[in-house]
Amino acid sequence: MLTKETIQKIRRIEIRTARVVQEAVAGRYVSAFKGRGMEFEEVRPYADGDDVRTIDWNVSARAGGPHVKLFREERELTILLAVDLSGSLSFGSNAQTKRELVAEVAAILAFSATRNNDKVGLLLFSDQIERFVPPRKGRRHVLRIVRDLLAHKPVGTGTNIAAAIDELNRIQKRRAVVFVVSDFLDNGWEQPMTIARRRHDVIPVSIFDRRERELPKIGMIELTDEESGKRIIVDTSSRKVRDAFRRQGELRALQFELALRKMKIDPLMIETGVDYVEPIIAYFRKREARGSR
Amino acid sequence: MTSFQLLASWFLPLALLAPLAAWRFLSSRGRVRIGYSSQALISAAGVSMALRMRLIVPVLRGLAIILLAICLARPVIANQQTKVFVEGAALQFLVDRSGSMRAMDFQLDGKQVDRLVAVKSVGGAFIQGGQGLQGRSDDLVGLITFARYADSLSPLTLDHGYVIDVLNKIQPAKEQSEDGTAIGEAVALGVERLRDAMKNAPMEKGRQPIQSAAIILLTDGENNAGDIDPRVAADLAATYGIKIYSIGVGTRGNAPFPVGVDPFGQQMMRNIPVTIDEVLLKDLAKRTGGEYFRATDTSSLRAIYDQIDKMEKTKTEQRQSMHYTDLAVQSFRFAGYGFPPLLGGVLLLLCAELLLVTTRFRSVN
Repeated sequence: MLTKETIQKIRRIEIRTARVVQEAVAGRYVSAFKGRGMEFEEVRPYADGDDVRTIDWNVSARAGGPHVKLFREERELTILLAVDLSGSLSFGSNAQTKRELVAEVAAILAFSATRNNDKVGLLLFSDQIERFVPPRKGRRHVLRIVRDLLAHKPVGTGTNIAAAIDELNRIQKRRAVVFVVSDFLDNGWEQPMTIARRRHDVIPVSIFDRRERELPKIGMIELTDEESGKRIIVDTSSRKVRDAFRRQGELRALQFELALRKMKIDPLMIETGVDYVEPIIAYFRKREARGSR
Repeated sequence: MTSFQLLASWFLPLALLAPLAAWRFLSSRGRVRIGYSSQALISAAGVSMALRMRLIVPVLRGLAIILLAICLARPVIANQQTKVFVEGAALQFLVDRSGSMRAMDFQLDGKQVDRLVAVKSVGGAFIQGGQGLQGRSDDLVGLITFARYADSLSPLTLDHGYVIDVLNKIQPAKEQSEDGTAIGEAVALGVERLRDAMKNAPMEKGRQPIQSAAIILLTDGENNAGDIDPRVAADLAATYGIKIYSIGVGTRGNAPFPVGVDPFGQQMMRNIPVTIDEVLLKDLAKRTGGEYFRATDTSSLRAIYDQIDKMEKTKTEQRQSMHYTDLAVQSFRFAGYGFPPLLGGVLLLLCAELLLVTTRFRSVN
């Protein structure tokens, strides 16, 4: 079922992502949840503002001063990757398609989850639910998820993010960190996401290509919509068209950001052909800086 | 008569390739498919004017193909031309310039004139037209004068102006030594000239070789000089198919003849009997199948010429030929406007299309 190429790709991704994971991302996405829990975190001298209930008397007696013992809240998280496989992702103008980038980013997140011994689940969708892999632990499970990411041939070509999030809301009752990896070239996903936001920690990962923001001046070009198959000719020689296209792109990005800001969600923006490690690290660092909720 | 024709109209169905070419341009077949995320992003940017104008490219290409098909069908403007071929005759004038031609028995414009003046006037009209005569514009005309000797003054030529010029310069013989009437020699010389002309007829456009030859002999006397017998000369003419129209010039009876100037400066006239050897002249005409005429005054002379004119009818022949103007490669005029060759139009259309396709309408795929 798996071709040699796919296996090679998985291995490459594993190696590559493993490095990234080790370098920076490991655990970052959960470090916001600290406090009382199952897992021991640290013992340190009591400071003003600490909850008196956290003072560990045994340690205090031995050390001769008040010490608090801190636990990390349930370290074992559930990571859910909702990955868009719609036709629009087959496009990519810069060394890789959006789909390849989606697979890589999703794989990084999955591997980074295993390093933290978290459960990882996968939801593949296009205009329908393509596949659901329930959250589970273990390296083998992650490899399976990566294989699915790379090898799954989507049945549908359209995009329906709303249906995917609805499905996710339905099946995932327990709190999870939900990554929605998509190009968000769709409408009507805002409301389901608001609902998902109530229970889960939703992180939209927006994959985009620079040619969706700006057109180069290359004359006339006939493009085929990967989802609908419709053809359209665009005159990139026209400054008017190029300017309008850029303005539309900016407007779309702004609307996307505004919609998410309303839900108090920060999107993770990743562009094809550009190193995605930096943005991911920067994103998690930013989240961490904002502290616990 | 001009008309428009297609000489190879079976090429016309090639024009049906035009919509095919236009369709080929507009359709996406054979084009590299370039996928894109969403056409909605593109259509949101609007459509440029150039993209709308792009339709001009298949139009140009289609027009070029249609025009090319028309060019292949060989469009012509057929011009039917009627050419008149003239079978020219050769007329050799033999004009008597003996002293007796000074006899004042002719009238011109109400004035008494001598015979030579009348002959000049009417003969000129016969050659060039006028005085109720049509002229012999298609004929070769030669002029020989004779008295004691025969002189060829003008070869057989179409330059009638020259012939008349020469004709008008003829003077009657004044010296006794050159006076006389050498009819035989004159006829012989005329035959020689005509024969020569028939052999080396000037080949001109629309002109046939000389078909008929005739001698018009004008005299007012009897053959009294020369070594050649007029009858022998006439037989010679008959051998070559040359007719002799002989004209006896002079009134019947006596004719006033200027004999000198009296002491008062008045012209002195004396009536001298007219002696025309009509027997000889008739014989000459008869031997060659011509005719003898007697001109007693100017009007009868004119009537004689008119008769000869009718007898020596110039034969004309009409030939029709088609002249084609190939519209594909020749410029032409239509409805008052000049047009370049159609192939030039094809070239122009193709160049325009090529220019547009490679510049503003350049397409990536």
